Amino acid sequence: MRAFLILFTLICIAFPCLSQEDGIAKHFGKYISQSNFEHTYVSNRMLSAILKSNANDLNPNSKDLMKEIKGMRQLSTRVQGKKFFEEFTQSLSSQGYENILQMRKGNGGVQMFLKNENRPNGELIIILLEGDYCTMTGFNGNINLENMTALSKSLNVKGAEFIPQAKKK
Amino acid sequence: MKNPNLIPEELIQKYWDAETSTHEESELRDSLASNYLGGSDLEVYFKMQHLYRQAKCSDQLSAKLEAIARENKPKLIKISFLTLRNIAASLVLVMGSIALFQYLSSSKANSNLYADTYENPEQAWQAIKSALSVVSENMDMSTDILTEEIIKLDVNPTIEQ
Repeated sequence: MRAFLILFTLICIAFPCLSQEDGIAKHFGKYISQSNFEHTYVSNRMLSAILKSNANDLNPNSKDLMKEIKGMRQLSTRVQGKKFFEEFTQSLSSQGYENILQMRKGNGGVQMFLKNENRPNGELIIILLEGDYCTMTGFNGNINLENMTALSKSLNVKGAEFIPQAKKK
Repeated sequence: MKNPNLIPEELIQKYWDAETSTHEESELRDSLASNYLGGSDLEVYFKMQHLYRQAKCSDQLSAKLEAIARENKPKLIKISFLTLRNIAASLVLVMGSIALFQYLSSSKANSNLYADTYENPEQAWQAIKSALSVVSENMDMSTDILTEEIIKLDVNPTIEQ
């Protein structure tokens, strides 16, 4: 009986380790298959391919910072953007994510959340609202806010040039 | 005329009835040694017993073989029903967990969740650049706002007396 209980406990412990979902997939996965949402995902495998290829214009320091990112996921909608902006914000706040930035600009706003900084399972999630357009972008990996800022500055990209229409397979 | 060495039948009968004393039993053993029980029906039996004991004591090899056979005798492992039930329940649990994990990992929703959106690194890199630019722009904006607030405080300090 004791062996049975130990085995059951080990299986219960092992299950969470097997899943390894990022925050957006874990808490908002139900929206991914909905028609009014656009979903973009870049896996660790694709990130490695980017670093190996000539597609990137990163310097060696930025490449090292980029290696810490293990994945990127984006979820966007053009319908009832404000409603989802508030829902996403409240949900992440209640799930233990630290709100590191919140800003209102015009008829929109920005919320930035951080979890497990400097740990292998770190996450940085940015929620952007512009009118009815709401987009939530998440990076997961060994996230350090200073490194992320330095990496983004090194790209010399000005303006919010996010891609609302994702080219899917 | 009775043979003086003949053991009386009463003694034999007492032996069978388990009523003999130690002295009487030793008399019987001595009579076995002399192999003379007077033609009784029990003579054959006692003789066989005597011969058996003699053979047993003198045959050391057979005694050793018997000991070895006893040692190598396969031991019967008894498993209780409760143990069997626990083993069966554990197996069912493990099989069920594996089946559930297989289902969850191969479901359609999961396949969409972890499938790369872009086919080539160039497209994926453009998406990442855009996302990182949003981070940069908003971090810069917040820094600018914070700097402005700090400057305002320095320009109009409030002194409480």
